[in-house]
Amino acid sequence: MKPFNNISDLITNFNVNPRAQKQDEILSDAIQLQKKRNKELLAENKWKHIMKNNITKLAAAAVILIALIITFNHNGVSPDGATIAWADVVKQLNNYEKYKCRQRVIVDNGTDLPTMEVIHVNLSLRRQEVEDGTIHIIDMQNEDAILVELKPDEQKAVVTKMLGYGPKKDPDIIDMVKRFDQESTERLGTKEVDGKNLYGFRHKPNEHNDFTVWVDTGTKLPVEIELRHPKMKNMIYMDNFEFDFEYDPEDFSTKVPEGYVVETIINDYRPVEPKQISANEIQAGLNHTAYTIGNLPWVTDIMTVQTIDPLGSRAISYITALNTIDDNNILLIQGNYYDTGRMIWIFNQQLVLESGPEIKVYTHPNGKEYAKYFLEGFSKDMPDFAEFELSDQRQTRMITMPDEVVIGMAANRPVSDEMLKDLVNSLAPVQSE
Amino acid sequence: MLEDKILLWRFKRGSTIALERIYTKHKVYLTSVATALLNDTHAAEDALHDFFVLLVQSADSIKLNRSFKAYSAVCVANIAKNKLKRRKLEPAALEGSCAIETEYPEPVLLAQQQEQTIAINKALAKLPYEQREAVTLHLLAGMTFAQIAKSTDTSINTIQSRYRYGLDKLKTLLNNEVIK
Repeated sequence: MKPFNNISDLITNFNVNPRAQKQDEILSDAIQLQKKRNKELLAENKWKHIMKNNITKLAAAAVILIALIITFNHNGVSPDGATIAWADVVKQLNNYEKYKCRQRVIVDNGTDLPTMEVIHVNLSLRRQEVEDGTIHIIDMQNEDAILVELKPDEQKAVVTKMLGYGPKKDPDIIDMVKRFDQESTERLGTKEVDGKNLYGFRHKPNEHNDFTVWVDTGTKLPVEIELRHPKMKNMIYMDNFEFDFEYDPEDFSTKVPEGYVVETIINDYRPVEPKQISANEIQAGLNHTAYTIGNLPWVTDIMTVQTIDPLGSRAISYITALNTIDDNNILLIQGNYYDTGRMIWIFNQQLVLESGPEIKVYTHPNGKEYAKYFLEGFSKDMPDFAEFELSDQRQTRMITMPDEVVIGMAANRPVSDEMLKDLVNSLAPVQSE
Repeated sequence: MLEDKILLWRFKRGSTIALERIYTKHKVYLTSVATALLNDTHAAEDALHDFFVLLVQSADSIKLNRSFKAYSAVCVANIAKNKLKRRKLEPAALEGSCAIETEYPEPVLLAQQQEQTIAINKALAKLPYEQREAVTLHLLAGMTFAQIAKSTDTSINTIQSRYRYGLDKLKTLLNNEVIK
């Protein structure tokens, strides 16, 4: 045997495989346990998850509505004498995979969103017909989810491909229903609408959601639902529920009709390993302008990296990291979702700097957390570049550019006004090679 | 590292595919850590089994403040330590091929690698457990001395000493083996 010269390397490369048979056994046992755990997770965690997810919000609300109805009637006879047995409702629900309803979003400040009819073929495929004529087809059945927005009047279409986002399915109704909390429901009595007897319930599962549900005592199916978000100061109102209807599969096709002008947006949600990239590669990954930083005398080191957004959106983030002469670490974050159209909340934040007529710098409502996630994530990904202790003075700034692009800035320590101004003024669109 | 975070995020939300990927990605590394600490491949496989069972059972309460690699290594080290205590398992060092399966597919490389692995394992078995733990967690699990100190509730200096003594002893043991 050769002499052992580098013991550290030998230990580092010490590799032992479990035997094949044992491998199968371990994995199989773990997966069985995970499946068992999943049954418990379905009702508990998905409730929270779906209510936070814009894409599934409507479906979730309807599912919860049904769950509420079943739950409320679980104890037997309703006050108007109509008997609604639990088993009957479950049986009824099993007959309907598809459903449709009308949805309105009412905002307390009066900026109501347009009414739309939402048609679910299943929990991964739906069509939304908005009152202004716009049509949305949302298909999350495959690994690459797709959202098609058609504007028939203008013959325009926007196709958003979300690579690696799917397949996604809203929670299984029955599993949710079986585990729904029955304790805190309020009975509202009866009312008659269009000759139908409805029975109302109110349920506040948490401080964010306040449901009022009206059920047809005859069909045992929902007729109206009002979902209030007290903190967001808005309300989703759904009615005109239908569970038994025919539909044309062509209505759910994500193929854009001929003659439309198509804009395609690609959002990549596939996991990526962090890697160092060039400014041009940022531009290749973004569907809006990418920005690069000019030479700044107080920057000692600079690195650009592609990584996954550590905030959990699953989108790709492009980070330009700067080490400075005053021992600060600054990250500039760019991504496909960083624009003022999506981040309208920025304009409610405090304006801290205006540079020229069109570049503005704002605070972030949760700046310490944002900075923490990005700084810690970057430090773990690139420890040789950024090894530092997270400072209590860390901060986040959101920079809005003239073309509506937003650049996030996470700094471990406060950045002086002069440096911030230097930095903002040095930002320039990436020039392709 | 980020991939681990995403996998763990999916796993915590019930994904069996993520669990399978976590397993595939870390099984060799964790078996190696367990083998280095227990000097028994069968006991190491049991430790790996225990770890994945515990991982699923405690999925809801997992909060990572370090890499998954370091987290899993500490868990496996704790399981190994308990096994040693419970069974009074004396490090017996591996003999012959003793069920070692390495990752080298080429027969010549495989033979060399197995020979080397057995020699290392024999040498590791002769270290006191604390030194073995410091060497394994630092070199194999890639943990910093500070992380090891925190997870074993020991001072950094102690861990560094254990590591240094352990490494020196390994050097002596392995090179004596060659001379013999």
